[in-house]
Amino acid sequence: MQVLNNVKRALLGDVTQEKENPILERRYEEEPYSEPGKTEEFRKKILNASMQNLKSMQSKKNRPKAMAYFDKIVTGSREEEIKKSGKKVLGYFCSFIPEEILYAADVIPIRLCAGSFDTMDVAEGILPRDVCPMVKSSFGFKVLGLPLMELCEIAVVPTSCDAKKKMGYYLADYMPVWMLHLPHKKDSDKSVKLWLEEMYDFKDAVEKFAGKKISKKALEDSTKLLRKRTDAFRRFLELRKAKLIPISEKDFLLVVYVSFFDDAERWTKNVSLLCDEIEKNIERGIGVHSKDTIRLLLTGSATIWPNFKILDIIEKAGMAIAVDQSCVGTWHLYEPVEVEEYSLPGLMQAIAERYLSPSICPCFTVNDDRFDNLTELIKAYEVDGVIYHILRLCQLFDMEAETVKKILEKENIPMLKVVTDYSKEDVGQLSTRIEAFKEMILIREEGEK
Amino acid sequence: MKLFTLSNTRRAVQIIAFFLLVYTSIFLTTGIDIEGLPFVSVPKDVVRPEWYAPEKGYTEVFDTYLPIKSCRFIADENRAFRACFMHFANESIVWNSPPEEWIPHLLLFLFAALIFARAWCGWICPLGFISESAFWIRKKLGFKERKIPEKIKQYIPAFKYGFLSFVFLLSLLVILPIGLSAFQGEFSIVNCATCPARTIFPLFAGKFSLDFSFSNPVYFLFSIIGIAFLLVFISSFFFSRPWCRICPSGALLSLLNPVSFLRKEKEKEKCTSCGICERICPMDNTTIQEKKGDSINTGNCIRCFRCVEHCPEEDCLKVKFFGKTIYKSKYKEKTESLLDSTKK
Ligand code: SF4
Ligand code: SF4
Ligand code: SF4
Ligand code: SF4
Ligand code: SF4
Repeated sequence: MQVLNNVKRALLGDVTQEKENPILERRYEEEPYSEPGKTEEFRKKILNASMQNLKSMQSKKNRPKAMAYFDKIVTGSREEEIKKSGKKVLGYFCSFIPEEILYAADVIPIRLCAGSFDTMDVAEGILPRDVCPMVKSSFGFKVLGLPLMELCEIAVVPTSCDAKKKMGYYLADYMPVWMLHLPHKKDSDKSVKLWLEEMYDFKDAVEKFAGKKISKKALEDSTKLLRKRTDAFRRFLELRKAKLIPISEKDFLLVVYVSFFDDAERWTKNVSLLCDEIEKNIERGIGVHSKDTIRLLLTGSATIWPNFKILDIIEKAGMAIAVDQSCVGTWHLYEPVEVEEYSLPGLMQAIAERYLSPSICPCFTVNDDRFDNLTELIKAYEVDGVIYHILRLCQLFDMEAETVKKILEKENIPMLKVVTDYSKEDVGQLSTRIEAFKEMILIREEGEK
Repeated sequence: MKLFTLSNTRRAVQIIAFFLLVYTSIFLTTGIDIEGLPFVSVPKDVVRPEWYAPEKGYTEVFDTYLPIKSCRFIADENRAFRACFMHFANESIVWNSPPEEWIPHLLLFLFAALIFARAWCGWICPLGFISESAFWIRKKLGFKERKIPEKIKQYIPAFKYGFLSFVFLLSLLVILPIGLSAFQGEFSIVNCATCPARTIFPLFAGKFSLDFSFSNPVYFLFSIIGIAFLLVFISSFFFSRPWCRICPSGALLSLLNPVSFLRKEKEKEKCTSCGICERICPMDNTTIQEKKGDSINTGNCIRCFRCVEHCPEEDCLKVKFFGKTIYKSKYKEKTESLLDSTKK
């Protein structure tokens, strides 16, 4: 065989195409810097932040009882469980990675986008100060060896925004990183083709990683399982349209956040239970805010557990968020994978398109779908105003704000642009602006009457 | 599993239509006084080749033409309709028959086509149904689906309308005194001689004949085209409705698609560009996903409404009949909520 190959190579050149190694390789490697000594300290800090959030959320009246499950998961019970299961774990960033493929290979997926203020400092030694707080925070988790980042054997990073791209490069010093080539234009056939190819490579890589072939049957099953998850999630969203807001945005985001690392089947079951309870509450006229509370829409950068600063402020100002438009909230699980044909190519095509085409991430050149969706959400959830939340240094969301502002002016919906990060320094100043925003909405409503 | 989905309804309509068109004798016994029915007079003085003449004359039950392939080669004893409309278009020119004989047929066609346009293709046409069934069988057998390559796809509209014009042109040539006397009469058979229905339908009456003649240049040309078209039709097993993309009957109805009374509408703000509609479309329409203008009622759409059925956004796609919404998109698996009763 070897001889034959050699002859072939001599005659035809190197035609045996080796599969590209998906691992990102740096030629300018650096010694990874870590602070294992501080792990315990930070673990406590993060738990504290979570506890603090939970305490304030639990104290709200009429909070659905079914939320208890999500409280339990977020405070750490999942970590032990994953360790015990002995399964392979893969971490990923953003909302472009098909969990269908991972579930099919019996790999546990964890979305790593983090919202912890505490871990940012340590990342600043390695990344510059002036990058997106989410990237710094996530990076910090690795440097400090914190869960759930520590459980992941591999991190998958799509080439979405600039900060994520470069984070992938530096993260490669710490752990194996796969970069997935996310096209910059999503509304083109070429892009879909490229992304589909990328998905096939991803599948191969996952197979190798898991040491297990992904059969058509397994992929079909996982697709159906995650479809159920989307079904339940859509029901949840539908219930949020109620006149009396049935669940706070904090609880909603917590539920979605838990889906980042929870077992999909169990999560689906518990969301269904939560929906049942909410449905009953709506029927009995029970809500978490009073009837005439101002309804807002939150759009823009991710608000990830436990960084609920902006939500805190809005809540304190006595307003409610009826719905959000964000990749860590409404849009993480929103789109279904609709399969035309349960064959391997059919499944792969459906999966690839689901994660690329309807995305509302601002990293795409033309993102008009996001604006369409925004006006739709405003109508469907009958909101009175829009909070446009930008994590400091996210140019993408900042640049899109102008267009959104003009669209909202046409719709006659007031918008407040808030630029902030994870630190608590600007709470006072933000509160004042949000209070003023509330006054403005109230005056407008007076005027309309 | 819901039973009354749009797909199932359409399948049922297709099956019923198939049996009505192909096996009418099972449902309708003879003995109906056909003299009393409209459109039965048979034109006499016809320029047509011998083998093309019908064996029994036009005395079948309904004896008119449908806009789709209600073919005259469906076995005589089974058939309900005289022939397909393309055949009529040919005939009426060729036969030189007086207007009062063909005008009712034409009006009937215009009426039927203007209301439903290519919904005829998606819901009624037996040939389209056979094509779809072949594709379905492939799916069940687990063979891989193939997509028509982009390179070919871009020429399809031109070819489709080109062939339609070619057919009508030849029919006109039959009656124009251009001095091709030797073969001129034969031009009139262009439609049926090239149509795959001629070979396919007899199969369902247990007859197999590959009726291609090469005895003169005109027959030769038609037979070559006919064999090519037959192969296109047979490829239904791998491609979705390949013949329907170039079928002259379909092409004729295509022209009416943008103005018909059964149509689709799209609320573009509700569309998330998810691409499901495009993937699910049996005719590979890409325009349905677009968010501009009235790009969704294009000629290539056979109005099967699968896109509407599978679109996951509520109210995004709608089917309108005379301006009234009769069906709309919705997220199907969504559990019903109690909201509607409590809201407002
Ligand atoms: S907005 Fe886009 S780049 Fe930012 S976290 Fe979400 S998916 Fe990633
Ligand atoms: S295109 Fe032709 S064969 Fe296809 S369904 Fe329409 S009439 Fe029938
Ligand atoms: S062979 Fe084709 S064109 Fe002729 S009557 Fe039948 S369907 Fe019509
Ligand atoms: S566009 Fe829709 S209705 Fe038209 S053929 Fe395609 S799926 Fe059917
Ligand atoms: S399926 Fe519906 S939402 Fe998706 S692209 Fe088509 S029309 Fe738009």
